[in-house]
Amino acid sequence: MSLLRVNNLRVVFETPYGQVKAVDGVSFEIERGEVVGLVGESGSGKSTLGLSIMKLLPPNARILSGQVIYNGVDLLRLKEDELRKIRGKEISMIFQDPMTTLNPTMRVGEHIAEALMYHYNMDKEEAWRIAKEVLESVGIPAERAMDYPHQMSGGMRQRVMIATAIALKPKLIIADEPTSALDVIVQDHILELLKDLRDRNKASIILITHDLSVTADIADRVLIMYAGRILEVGTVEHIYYHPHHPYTQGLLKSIPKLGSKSELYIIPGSPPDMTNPPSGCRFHPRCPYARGICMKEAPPLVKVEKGHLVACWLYIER
Amino acid sequence: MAGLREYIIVRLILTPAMVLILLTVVFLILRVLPGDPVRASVGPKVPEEYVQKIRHELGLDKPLYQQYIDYIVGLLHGDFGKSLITRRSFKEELLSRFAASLELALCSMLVAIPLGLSLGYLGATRRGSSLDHISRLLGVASYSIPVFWLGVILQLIFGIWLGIFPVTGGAPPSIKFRVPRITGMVMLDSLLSGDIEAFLITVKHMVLPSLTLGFVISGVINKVTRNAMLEVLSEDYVIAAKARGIPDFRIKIKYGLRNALIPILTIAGLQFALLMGGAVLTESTFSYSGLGTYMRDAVLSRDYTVVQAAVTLYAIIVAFVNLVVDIIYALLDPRIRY
Repeated sequence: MSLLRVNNLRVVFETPYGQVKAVDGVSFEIERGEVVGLVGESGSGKSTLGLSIMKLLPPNARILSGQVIYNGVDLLRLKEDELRKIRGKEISMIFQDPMTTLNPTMRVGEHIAEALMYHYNMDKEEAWRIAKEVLESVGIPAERAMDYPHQMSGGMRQRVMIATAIALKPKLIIADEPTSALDVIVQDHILELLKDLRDRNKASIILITHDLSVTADIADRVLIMYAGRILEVGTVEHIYYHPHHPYTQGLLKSIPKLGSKSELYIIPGSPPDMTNPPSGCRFHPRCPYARGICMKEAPPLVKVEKGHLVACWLYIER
Repeated sequence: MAGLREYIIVRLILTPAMVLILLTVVFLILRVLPGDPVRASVGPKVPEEYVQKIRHELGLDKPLYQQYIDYIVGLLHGDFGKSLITRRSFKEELLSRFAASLELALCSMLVAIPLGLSLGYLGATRRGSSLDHISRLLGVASYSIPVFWLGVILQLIFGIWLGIFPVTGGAPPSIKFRVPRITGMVMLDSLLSGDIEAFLITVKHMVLPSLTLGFVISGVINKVTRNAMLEVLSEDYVIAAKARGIPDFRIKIKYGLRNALIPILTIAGLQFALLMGGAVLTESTFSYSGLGTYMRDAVLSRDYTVVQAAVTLYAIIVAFVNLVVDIIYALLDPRIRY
């Protein structure tokens, strides 16, 4: 049994401009110890997907249908206090901006210690001792545990965030753009830390990012998301060397390469308005291969080879 | 926490400087106001020689810088000068009025802060519920109801119909004379001297004016608390805390209220300062002899030295409240340091 299985999840946001279909029928699964990269541009619904797994969506979001099966239990059906026991302890989360995700009036160590105290009924001293150990394991000296967040750099704060996410040894970590707010050198350190985490704790990681290259050396599999749907799933090799979906191909072509003299490729058009998304395949208005059927019907995810799925009419015999 | 100590020391040094600036402004404003205060106070029919005599007596014929020095030196010695009307020292009266106002302001805050804070907190944490609507309704009511009207209604209900509380505010004269003066605040003094009976009587007299003012002020605190809480509760660190499985109540207090306290404290400090001088309507309604009515009377009788002294006291209390608020800021928020 997979650690987590998401079945046909549909999430909408109620906004003054209409209903935004942020996640529209997404299904995937993740195995124990597996790292899955969830790649998509801004507004593709990848962060919403991450938040819905933990049921941490903002009040104007509504889950229309679907299941999030974790260890055989549908998280979407759990009560708030049952969910609370899972959050942090079984599934934890790392957020994008370390400048805003730590409580400014709380010492960094307490972020970790309080979670230990609530989940394990630990006494304060024990919790702080472990908090310091965890901080050291992510490269922060124990004495900095008494610092307030503003006394640390962005990179250090993200390490603290990671420490809060791993302190309870969760089996699944959802990392939502963990490196996007950091500069390149620090990005690299954080990615190393995540890899280390996967090896040491045997945790599964969902790495949400808009940057394909971030997933390249850490992910086992990559999901390509566009306009609330998954367009392609495959191993890193499938996605990088044999991309099938025209969108994935476009994405890869638009990664700048060192030494290349030719102009950078840009996928024509712009991301769809999600209050009124395109009919059929969501990508058809921007797709160079779009045909009649693409406008009428959404293509299902089909297998093109083992472990490689694509949702595109190009690969479906009719 | 070396930063905190430095911060407090710097604040402590800055406060007297601020008070001096305030005092100078008060002094200058009263000198540049059109019209001769002495002439205005005695009326047009009094002969000029007599006016000159009074001016000389009060030191108003000296050059401006000399008057300023006299004023500041006098203040440092606790001398507020002489009243233009009675031509006698009014220090005693001023200080007792000041103490009474301070007492009323403190009691009103004792009503306003718990009421405003809890209503705002409940409104924000149960947004959209009927409790939230009630809290907002009470908030709007509190700052749209005229304070004297509310005072009169409370007098009518509790004073006349139910007869629980006296309709006049402040300790009755018999109590005032009975209780030894320690701080000037009768409630506190009676408690300090162990006169429980006097304390209870004074408390009874304080209830209605404090409720009236406290309710009016609570609306602002309620609104600020609600807004600040809503803002803080939508911060990323609140979602992050939820993702760690931290219990809801702890998130609301330690992550929510704790971070919302800064704007709440700011408004509470401002309201307190306002209460000190601006409680004229409440003081009139309850015939409470505080600084507000005293200043009103002084203004009406053009007793400029008394006005100057009252404004001076007011300036000092504002500066002091500011100092306290600044220090609490630093205690609440580790980012506030030099």
